[in-house]
Amino acid sequence: MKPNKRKNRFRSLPKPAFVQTLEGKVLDFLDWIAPVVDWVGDQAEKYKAASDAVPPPSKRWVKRRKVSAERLTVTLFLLFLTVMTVLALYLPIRPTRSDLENRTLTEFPTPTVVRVLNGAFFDDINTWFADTFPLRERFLAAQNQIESLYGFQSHKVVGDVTAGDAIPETAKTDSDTSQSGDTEAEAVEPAADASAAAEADASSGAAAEEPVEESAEEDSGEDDITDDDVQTLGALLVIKDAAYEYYNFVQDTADDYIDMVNRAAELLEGQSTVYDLVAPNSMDICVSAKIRSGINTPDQQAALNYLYSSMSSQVQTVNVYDLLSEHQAEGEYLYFRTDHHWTALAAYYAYTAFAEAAGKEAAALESYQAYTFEGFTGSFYRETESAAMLANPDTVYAYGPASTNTILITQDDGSQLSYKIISDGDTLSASNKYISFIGGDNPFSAIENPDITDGSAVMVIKESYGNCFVPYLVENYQYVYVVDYRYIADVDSRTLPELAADYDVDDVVFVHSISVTRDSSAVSKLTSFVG
Amino acid sequence: MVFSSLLFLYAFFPLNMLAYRIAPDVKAKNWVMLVFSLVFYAWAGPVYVLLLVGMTYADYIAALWIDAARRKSTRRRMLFRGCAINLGLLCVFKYLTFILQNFHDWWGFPWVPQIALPIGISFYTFQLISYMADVYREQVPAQKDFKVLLLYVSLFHQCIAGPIVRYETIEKELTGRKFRRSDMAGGIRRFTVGLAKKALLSNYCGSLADTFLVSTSAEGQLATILARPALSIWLGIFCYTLQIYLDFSAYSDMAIGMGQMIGFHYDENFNYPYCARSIRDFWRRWHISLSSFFRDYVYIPLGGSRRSVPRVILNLLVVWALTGLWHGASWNYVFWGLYYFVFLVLERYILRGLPEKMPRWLNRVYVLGIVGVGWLLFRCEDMSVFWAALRGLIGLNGNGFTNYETNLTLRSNLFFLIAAAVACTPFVVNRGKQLAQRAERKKGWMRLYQGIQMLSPILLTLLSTAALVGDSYNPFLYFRF
Repeated sequence: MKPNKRKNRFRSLPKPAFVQTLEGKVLDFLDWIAPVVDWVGDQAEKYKAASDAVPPPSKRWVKRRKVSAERLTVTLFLLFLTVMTVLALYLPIRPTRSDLENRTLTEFPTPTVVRVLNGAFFDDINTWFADTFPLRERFLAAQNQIESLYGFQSHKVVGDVTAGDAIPETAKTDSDTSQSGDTEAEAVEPAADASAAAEADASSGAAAEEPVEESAEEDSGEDDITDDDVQTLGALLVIKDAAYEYYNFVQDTADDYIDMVNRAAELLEGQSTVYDLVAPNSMDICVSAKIRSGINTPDQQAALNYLYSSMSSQVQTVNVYDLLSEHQAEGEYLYFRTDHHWTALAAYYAYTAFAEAAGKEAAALESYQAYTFEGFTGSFYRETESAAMLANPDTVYAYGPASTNTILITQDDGSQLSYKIISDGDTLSASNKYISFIGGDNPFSAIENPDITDGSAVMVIKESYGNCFVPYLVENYQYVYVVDYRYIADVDSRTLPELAADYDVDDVVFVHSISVTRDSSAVSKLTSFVG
Repeated sequence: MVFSSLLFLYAFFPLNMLAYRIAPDVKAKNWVMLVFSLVFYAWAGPVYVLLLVGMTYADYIAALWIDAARRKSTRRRMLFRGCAINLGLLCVFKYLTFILQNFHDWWGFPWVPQIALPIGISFYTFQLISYMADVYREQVPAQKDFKVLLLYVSLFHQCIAGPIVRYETIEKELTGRKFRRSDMAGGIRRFTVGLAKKALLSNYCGSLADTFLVSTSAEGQLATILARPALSIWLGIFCYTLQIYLDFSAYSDMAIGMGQMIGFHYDENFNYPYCARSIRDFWRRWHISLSSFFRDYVYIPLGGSRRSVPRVILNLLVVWALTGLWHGASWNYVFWGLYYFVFLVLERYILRGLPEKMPRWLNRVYVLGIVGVGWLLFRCEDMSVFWAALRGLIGLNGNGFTNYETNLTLRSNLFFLIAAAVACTPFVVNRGKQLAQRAERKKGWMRLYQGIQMLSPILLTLLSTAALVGDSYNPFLYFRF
């Protein structure tokens, strides 16, 4: 069937050249494929003829087959069930710890009269039985593989994205510490176009705080952040082998944070200078603006502007947003893909920005002792259990001061331990390599630089984001004190002003991830530490 | 304990089967089932076993009296007393808190006690009522042996999540049932299919519904639902619709399968309700044991449809308000029942046979649209969340049609959602039947068919185990029933 012979009511119209070429191509293709089609048809006919020639099975054969199939179905299933039951009830092979999730698995419950009577004890047995099931990690991995087939999963969202508050464009005007910012927030922008934001349970299953609650005043959440390296993660955006944490702005908590920093500066006036460094997370620095504009996470730059512009002039603010963005544009490795922390390189740039603000000379990165620890799969991996992340883990590049590698740590139980500033990450499990910085999160630590004798002292108030920042400061101060505000109350009842006075601290540096400014539990701990 | 827990699957159930196998005769086997059933029930709180046993004993006596009485009025009186005890206890344990709370909200008093709902009470209360009513109507003789009646009521297959098995259905099988290998094999297949529906499909659908809408346990639900774009709410309703059918029918499948394994034959509880052609048809296919209970023990005694039009409408109103209330002590369940009342009356008197005459696609839109919005109402105990979601459904919350997260979540679960939707239709079963027909004619097909039959129970159980091991989301939806 040649095109020019076909009856066509548009015959009078000349065909555009591309249509002619296209038609030609299609016809060529049909010519080319025809023998193949014929061959397949022939084969199918042959097969059909051959199979028709075979007589249908006899009724007796069918019946016998059916009986034997039923018998086999029952036998095989019961055998399988028996094997699995023996495995499940043979206690010694039950795992007690999950390295993947970095937690001890549920233990067998102890019965009490009340818990037995109301059934809670039996519930606990259920949990224990499932949580410590033999071959647990194998089953989890299998389940992961199955779930990766559920759709096109190069991008996905893990956790529930929920609504947050709108970020005001103007600074918080009322700096009265006892006031919350409700009224301004409502005055500046109605909640209608609320930039939505993220929230999810911590990987540890800790109680989630609710950003949408209007009265997020108090927080009893003692168990919100307790374990080393367990933080309240928001929902995650997963793109291939990397995850990014959603940030959401929470007006009340942000205002409490501002009040806390202002109060610290007020209390420490004349004693120490207060610096505040809030680091953006990888969502803003690493994800292209194009993708970010489509998702429910507000601009962290705007949030930082609000925070910093609301702080009193006594506070030296250090904004590293643009600095990190520039270096990210150069393709530098600033955030882990499988963990919620920044890298030591990002912390170094933050350190240079701090040094500039403090009028100190930043030491060159090359002057630090460099370490490389490969095979890090952190909290994002734990949360997503992404196979792509496991196949392509992060590498921890650590930088330790040349002058000393000794840190004196006060542990949770109050005991003291002389430890390494950068410890050997190769000996740590894959999920814990970030602990190689200053021994992880401890209530209080002190580092002395033997090469400096001017008595200068700095105190870093931090959560885990500060861990890879601390080592750089050693080159500028004789004493570096590190306070983890979440645990300090366990070992030391002194407040920030008392500590600063007792240790004769010149500079106090708050180093946080931006997530802290939406975490009411963390902010209330900070507030009570500041006093 | 629930069927879809590893403890049940790999400890309780195998031990039960083993003890059942060892027991020499029906009497001993019944003892095995009774002891295991009471342990199963006690797992959710041992004290409530007393309630279960006590209620059964009261009804056991009542039924004997009904049976022994000659005069109709005496029989009737005994029936009323028996039902009063059952419904009274059901009211105290299920509805008292709700009633007093409403009273309290209006008048500020009295004090509202918090009464925990004994698991399965709605199911076994109804089973007992149907038993007494059937004895009253002389459809069955009263059971003389208390432990047999207790076995009927407490049998763990159906005690806590249905189906509501009628006493007459299994009366004979309670005391004399045969073991057939074909039953055993069929039961195994049925049970594992149910398990897979629950563990592989329903639980994940549930977590998707939470992602698209908002978790029903989260605080600040309203603010979150107000920020959701329209597509997200559509998809959320879709996922919840899938979840609730897959979950509920999975429990019925497991119950029917386990019964079949040891020679009990329970009636079907679901018949592909989402393929229904009208709302009336939907309720003939959805939770059949419940709707037929209300039909036989409420609607027909009230006069059914053989009365005047206003009276029939009143009868329907009573039935549907009760059906709604049965699902939980909260207003949204009542509204949900009345919502169906409205559509059923509409279909009965105004639309007549119109839905069945619609083209297929329009028919689907009609039924699933009404059912879907119904499930939304069923899900939201807080009515303000329901209205917000309803407004969001047509884009009135000003969040646009969709957003990045919604698209992403849809894309990354597209195949799963298609599979779950297909699982709500008879598609797979029909393909199986086709294969079975072919297998009769060709040896090759027979081998394939039987290979699938033999290996699928094991494969499905393994996959379900993998899903249950790491599962943080394994809800039991019927704790309100």
